[in-house]
Amino acid sequence: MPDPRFVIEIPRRGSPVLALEYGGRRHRAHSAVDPEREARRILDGLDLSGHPLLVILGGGAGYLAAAAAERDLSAAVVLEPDHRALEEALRKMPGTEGREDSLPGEFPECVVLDGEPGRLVDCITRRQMELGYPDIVLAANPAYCRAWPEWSAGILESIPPGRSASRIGPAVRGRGWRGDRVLVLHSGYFLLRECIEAFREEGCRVAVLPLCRGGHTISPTARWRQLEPDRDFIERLLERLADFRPDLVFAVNHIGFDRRGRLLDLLDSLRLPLAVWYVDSPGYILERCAEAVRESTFLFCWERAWIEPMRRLGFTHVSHLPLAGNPSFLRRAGEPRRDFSFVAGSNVQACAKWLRKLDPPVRLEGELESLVAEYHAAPAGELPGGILDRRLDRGGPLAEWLDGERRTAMESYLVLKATQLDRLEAARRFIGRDFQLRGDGGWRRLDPRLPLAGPIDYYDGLAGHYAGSRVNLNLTSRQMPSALNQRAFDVPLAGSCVLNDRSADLELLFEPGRDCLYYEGLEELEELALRLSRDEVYRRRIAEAGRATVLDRHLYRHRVRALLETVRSTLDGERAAHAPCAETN
Amino acid sequence: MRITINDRDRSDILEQMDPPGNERVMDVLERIARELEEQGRVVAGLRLDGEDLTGREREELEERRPELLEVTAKDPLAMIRDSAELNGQWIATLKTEISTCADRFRVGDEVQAIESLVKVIEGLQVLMLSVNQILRLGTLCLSPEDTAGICDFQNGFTSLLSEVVEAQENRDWIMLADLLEYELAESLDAWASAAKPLLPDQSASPGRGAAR
Repeated sequence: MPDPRFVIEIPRRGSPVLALEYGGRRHRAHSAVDPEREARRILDGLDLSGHPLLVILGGGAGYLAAAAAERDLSAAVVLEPDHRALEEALRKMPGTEGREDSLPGEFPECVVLDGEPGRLVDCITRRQMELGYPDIVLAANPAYCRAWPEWSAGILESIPPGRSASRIGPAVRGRGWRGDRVLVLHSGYFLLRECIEAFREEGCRVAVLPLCRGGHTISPTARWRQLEPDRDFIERLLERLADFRPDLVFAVNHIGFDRRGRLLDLLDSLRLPLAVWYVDSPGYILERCAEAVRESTFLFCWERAWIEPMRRLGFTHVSHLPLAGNPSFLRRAGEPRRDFSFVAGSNVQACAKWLRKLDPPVRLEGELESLVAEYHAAPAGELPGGILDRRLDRGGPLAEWLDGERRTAMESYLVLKATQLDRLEAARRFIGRDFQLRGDGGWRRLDPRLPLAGPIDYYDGLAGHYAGSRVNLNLTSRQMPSALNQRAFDVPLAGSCVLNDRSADLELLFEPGRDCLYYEGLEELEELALRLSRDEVYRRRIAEAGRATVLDRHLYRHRVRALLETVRSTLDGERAAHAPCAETN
Repeated sequence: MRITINDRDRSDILEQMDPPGNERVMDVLERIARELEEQGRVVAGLRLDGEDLTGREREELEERRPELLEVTAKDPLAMIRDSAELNGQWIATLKTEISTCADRFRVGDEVQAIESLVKVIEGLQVLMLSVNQILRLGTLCLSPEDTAGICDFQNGFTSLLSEVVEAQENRDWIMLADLLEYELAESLDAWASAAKPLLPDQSASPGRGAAR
């Protein structure tokens, strides 16, 4: 039998009608008398409640799609076996000129797809996912089913006529926000273990979804575009969403979110809030990428300097959420084994990596060195952007060479290098004293005289090491102009004393002189460290007050509580804003 | 055998039979029909031993030997008017089914649509039987002008039903839906004007045998 073809029939009664002709038979694709009414009646006969996705098997002259535009649908998809042939036929249809506005292509939420059934079903499934898993309602044109029985059956066996209920959409959407079911996307990042415990302590039920079943291999600061969780991650996520029905998804540093934004689209369309706690530079991770911006995302930055840039990027809900103390570090104060300790990375490998990435030409090496020196000499709270801007304003070879991609790399390199120099200078002040440096082997390359005792595991030994040191030196990375690092909270919990560099958050979260101490400059660092090591009463008073403050206000559960409260109050506010106003006389 | 006409005992008719006492049902009924025709009335209902056999075929009645034969006699014009009114109500019901049937064809729900189409066809058959009866009774009491509209109404279906059958055989469901929903439904709407001269509230209402 020859392939069916579209023909225009002039009926005895009514207007020209699109028909399908094959094997000596001809079947009309729509009413010749009143196709608009026919389309409305077909839609009236379907259950279109709850914004379903309408699938039109055989759009024909587009009357049904045009009528669908008047209904409250998530979207409509028209399936055609051969859209080009249809378009050619419709061009010959008298009277189409006046009805162009109602053709499928003009309905913005309606797409026309053509091709093999398997591909079409995949496209519909993807569209359903993008829309947040609404129910599907399929309307089949009987003429198409007769003319292309195999093609139609290939679609109908996956999506039957009428309404197909979505398992996921209502399960998630129907619950509403209660803030007591949290789905954690687990990348293996160190912070997550504490956050999971904290959510539970706050009364939440927590489901943990590993990004990679074979182990957590994603770097904590993997770039937005480089993240590739397991191929079946989305499927596992969908299962979890349906079974667990969370009302919040939690992630750190956007780890696990695909570069095409499918996961974000899914959560957004399900109106499922996503809380992302940034504990590393979001500028580097997101690369100023507006693709990550979604209305349902709540961003929490450990560093206040990132709040405004993230708002400028388009995020609506951005809040400050400092790091916190790990309750597993809680120790009784014991007898110290050494005076001074400094736990820090040397940044040797990281600097080398970024330098390789920058690959500056030989003619610029001198300028790069002077740039490092200038930034190192700048106040610790300053980010490298300002210095770079000033240099580039002067013009010259560096300005010509430093394009957008290199600029990001340069900023990262400057932060790492300046932090390395800060730490090296501080550590050198204690050479020859009762001092232990814990960190990577890069320190030996920087200065072999340093008393390096090797790296120490965060979960196995670090708390004891803090407790065994009279004074724990702390020097914050340059990527945190105002934030506190983990050590500022963990050392007091371990019952010891931490000597911090000055930062805005220290003065915000603690009371310097009572429950914490800070130094400004290397002279004061050495002076205060020596005083603390000798004055046990003073040291213990600061340590105990610091521990009380952390226990009272700065544990992970306090952060989780603040996070939940932020989401709750925002959603409550949005609901109140959208609630119908009471009528007043 | 005992005979009643409109509940009045008319067993005396048996004595007027030829030969007297002939109790063959068809002979008795023919005798009653002649008498009623002389009175300007017709047999409107028949019960044999309590069983309603109105409208049954002659063969069915011939072998019967009932003890009680009950006849309902009516004025044919009154019967025509009753039928005309009932047809109006029947058409309203039929149009609802036609609309349902067309909708089912439009969405390709073949099984339900064909079930519905069978109901529509059966309903049309009942309607046509009634129209035929009106025309038959009309020969007793109406002029050809009075029944011309009914004849047109009856003829209007013939070509339309052949198109319906063709579309159904070709399985062109949307064309079939158009035929049912628009053409058939409109043809049925013509009943109101076709029956207008027959209905009692018309100022030009025909009297019994007015045009004969």
